[in-house]
Amino acid sequence: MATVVGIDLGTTHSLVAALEDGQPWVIPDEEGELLLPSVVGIGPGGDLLVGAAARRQAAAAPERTVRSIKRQMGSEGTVAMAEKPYRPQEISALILRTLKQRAEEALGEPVEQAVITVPAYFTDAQRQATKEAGEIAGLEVLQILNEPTAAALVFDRRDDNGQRLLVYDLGGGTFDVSIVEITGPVTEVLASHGNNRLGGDDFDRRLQRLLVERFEQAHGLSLPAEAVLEARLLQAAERAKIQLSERTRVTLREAFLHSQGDTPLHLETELVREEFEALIQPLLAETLMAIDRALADAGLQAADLDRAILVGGSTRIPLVQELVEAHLPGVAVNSFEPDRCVALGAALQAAVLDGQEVETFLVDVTPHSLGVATAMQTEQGLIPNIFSTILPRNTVIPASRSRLYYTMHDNQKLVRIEVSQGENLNAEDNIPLGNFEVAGLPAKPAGDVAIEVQFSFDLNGILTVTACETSSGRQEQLVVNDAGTQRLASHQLERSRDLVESLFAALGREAGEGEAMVDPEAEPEA
Amino acid sequence: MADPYTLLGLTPEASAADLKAAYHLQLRRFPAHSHPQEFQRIRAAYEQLRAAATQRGDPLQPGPLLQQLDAEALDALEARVRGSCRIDLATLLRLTL
Repeated sequence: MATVVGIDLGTTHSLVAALEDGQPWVIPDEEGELLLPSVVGIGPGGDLLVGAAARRQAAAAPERTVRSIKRQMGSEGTVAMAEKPYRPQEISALILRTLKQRAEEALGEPVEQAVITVPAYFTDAQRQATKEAGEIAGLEVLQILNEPTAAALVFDRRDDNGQRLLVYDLGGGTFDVSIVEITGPVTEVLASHGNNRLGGDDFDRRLQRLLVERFEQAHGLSLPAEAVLEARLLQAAERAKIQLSERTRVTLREAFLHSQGDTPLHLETELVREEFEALIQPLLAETLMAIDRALADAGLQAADLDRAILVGGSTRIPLVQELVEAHLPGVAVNSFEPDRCVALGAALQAAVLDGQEVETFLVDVTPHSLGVATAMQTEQGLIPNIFSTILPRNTVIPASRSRLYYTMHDNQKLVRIEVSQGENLNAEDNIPLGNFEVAGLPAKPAGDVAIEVQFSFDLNGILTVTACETSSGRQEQLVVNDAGTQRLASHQLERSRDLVESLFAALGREAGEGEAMVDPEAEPEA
Repeated sequence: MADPYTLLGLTPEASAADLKAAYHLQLRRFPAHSHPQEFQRIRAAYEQLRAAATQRGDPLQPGPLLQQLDAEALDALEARVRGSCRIDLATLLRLTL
């Protein structure tokens, strides 16, 4: 019998969870580790490394290692690993494939379907890329689920009176805030906001720059821009950041970082927590503004909240909790399974979609507005590309809405419907999703021909746009993200699937002792 | 569209709490993932009745202050603002974009 799983595909770590006797649990690897580092690499012998083994070589062999691939998801570019280009979906697929195998070994049955989580504020392209990564890894993606929503699904202090929760999710690379109302088994998202490029990685980078300055000041020289140097300093910065959550000061030592003539140069410096906090404070201030915007979108004030929960590894930084508490006076702020709850919620939703008897009901929203480009007639002439929203952000999905538009010119024969996603008044600043035309309009004066544009958006992110000329009933349609209509993409999908499978076949075979953590042939360690 | 009260099994006397309870009851019968069409109808009915209730206001809650603006004073203010402003609508829109 096949089973379903929930996967938290994170910037720095990924997890897989499943439901057992109605309770979700995170599936560990053979060594008992729950978190798989989201790092992929090619070892010195050409073998594939995924997870801890890849992370271990990251500082020594950055050119053969890829980390934080989540940040590239949805972009057209490729990343290089051992001089070969890979699409971000392929790198993510290798992580997903590893988790799939981990689950299959632990559960003793094939895993073919999954719910995969993404930041609530991910755009359409980022969601589709994640879904494609799942398909490349050989998984049918039942749903792309928002991370803070997944966290809220497993919130365990439920009652029938209803409570309002703020989920503050600060991970390795992304930030989300969602306002959620929980009543018994019903979880309703009221609003989400976020930043897809804000997380622990940015804190590491700021700290890394500080370390470079310290080193250059101490030795009176400038460090060359070398990948190995940068990777070492980044890793040192990450370690210091983690230690500074427990301690108020740390001493960093990186021996033989560089040399001057024959003299080896070391980095040795002390960091106090306040210095680190000063570096990240401006970034955290942005997250507080996002809280205000989400509250405003939900039509609520801080005082209406019953509780705030902190999710994601970066919420371990003491300053994060302090700032959230100060920003939401009178609201209880608690950390809640910061690493595991997203995967647990994904497993729960996977079981719901699988038709298992789980008392969980979810109502979620779309984080970005969807609309079309329009023109506006003014005394000074025509102003083009004004974004007209049809499905406003934070609309409950699935949803279907329509609006009427009118022709601009006398005897206009054609209208072009340009669909985009975003919050900018200038449609060109939003993310294009596609366009199509309705031709053969009746010859009439400007403004006398009405076009009804309808948007239908489903839980799988498929947007169907229908434009109908109301007098004749003539209509055209565009379907965004429909897998069945994207034949070109499916060819690419096959190629990626073959690539990932052939790479995966070489997984860890030459990896040496202790690194063959996902090798099916390996004997489990005693 | 069906009458929102009928759809949610409510009468016009229903309170805000009744409305939410009825909405939850229906969405548990017709979850979004398995019954998208029914769910959308239920959600639309809920949003319609909730908006109506917000407009009507709860007689037991203190309402917002209503104020009458003096139309003449408003016109004078608008004329003054327009007089001091050397920008037309089109330029303003361009600048905004």
